[in-house]
Amino acid sequence: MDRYPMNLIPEAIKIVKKEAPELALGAWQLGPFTQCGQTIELDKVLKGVFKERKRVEDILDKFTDIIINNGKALLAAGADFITLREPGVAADLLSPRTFKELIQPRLTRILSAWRAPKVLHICGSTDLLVEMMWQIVKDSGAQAVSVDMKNNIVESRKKLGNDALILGNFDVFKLPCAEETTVEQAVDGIKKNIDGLVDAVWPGCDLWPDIKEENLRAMERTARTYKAGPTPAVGRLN
Amino acid sequence: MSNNNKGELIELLKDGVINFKDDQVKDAAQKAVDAGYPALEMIMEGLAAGMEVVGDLYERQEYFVPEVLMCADALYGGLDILRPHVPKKDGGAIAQVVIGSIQGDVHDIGKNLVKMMFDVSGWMVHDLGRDVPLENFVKEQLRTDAEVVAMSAMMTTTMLGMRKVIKMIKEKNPNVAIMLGGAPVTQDVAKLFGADGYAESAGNAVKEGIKMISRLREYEKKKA
Repeated sequence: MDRYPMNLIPEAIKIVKKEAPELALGAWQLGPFTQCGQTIELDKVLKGVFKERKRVEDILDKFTDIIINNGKALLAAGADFITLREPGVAADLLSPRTFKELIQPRLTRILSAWRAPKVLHICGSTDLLVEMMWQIVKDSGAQAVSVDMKNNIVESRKKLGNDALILGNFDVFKLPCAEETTVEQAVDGIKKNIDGLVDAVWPGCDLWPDIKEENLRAMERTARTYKAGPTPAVGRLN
Repeated sequence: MSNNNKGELIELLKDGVINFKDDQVKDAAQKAVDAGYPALEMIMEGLAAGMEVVGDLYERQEYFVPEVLMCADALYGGLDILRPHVPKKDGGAIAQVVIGSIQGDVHDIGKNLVKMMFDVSGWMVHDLGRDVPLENFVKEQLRTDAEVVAMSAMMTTTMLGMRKVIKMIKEKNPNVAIMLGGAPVTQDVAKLFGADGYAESAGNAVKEGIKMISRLREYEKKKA
């Protein structure tokens, strides 16, 4: 992380912390399977899961080591919390069995190595994975799972119970960006999100560059004020 | 040559695709060619039929994308052997499709699976690859007069380009059918962008492609 352009990120963190020390600053790292797929052609990796298992495992272990070190550098630069994002492993791509055998141990190892509040986020169809995700959180000392729009939050809450911290999962295009979405509809979207029993309103995925300011500001106000009061999470955090 | 032999080879092709047995598919395809069996029949009743089962297994979440990719490899192994032997009369393209991953996006698994479905279905596929400049979709559609343009994106940021392409194409040719796919694309987004069809992910693209193959097989049966 001391070489250009990687060293720009810790520098940016330091600048933000200096300029806005009152704000919580989150860093993130992409998970090993996703990074591997972006480096080596994802279809080769996916087929390698069956055809060259040992080789894929070795490569994933190398990425795991890199991610651990990168995350540590970002935290050392001043990030207050960190999210491990592994979008390439949801049940639209990999079987839950492959997730359990190949991905779960590595995500647990990464999160275990980071000493800070930490969140596990997986995009895509995570209904079949959410219990394993929460197990990773428990095993690694992390705090929460974060899911995207495809997750059935209500069902996830039933599966994980009220002791689990679930973050998510507003529609990052429809609410803040879509031309036809009014401010009122964006507000309703956030209310629905909160009614779905998330512990904090998080975007389901990356935010778009086309955000309408008035929608996003209304969404942020709603997140702060709708059903204001202690969330069920208060008291759950050690 | 007995029909049983032809039937057996069809089953070997189908089973080979379903269980991603590349060598079995290639072997059966070559035997079919050597025996002089109708290549188009072997493709549709063997390979395509196998892929329909694969699609069903995917829907039931018994197969996931790695399995589907390996089934696709097996299918292509057979298709490469059989396709040159489809007589031109039978092998005339059903229609044409221009396909590619949108500018800025290098993910192409879903796009390649959709391409395969079109291939097997007898479409003429003009694959532009990935990270395709927006104007290239328009140029290729005009050049080929393709009935369908299919675009995929795996990132929210690259998806925006689809809207521009749709506008550019529809201005020049409103009758072109445009299909969008990729993880961040939703039905709402596709509708908002003015697309005519939508596939949510690689998996849904497979499902939609399988439906197309099913419709084509019915069409071929009625035609026969």
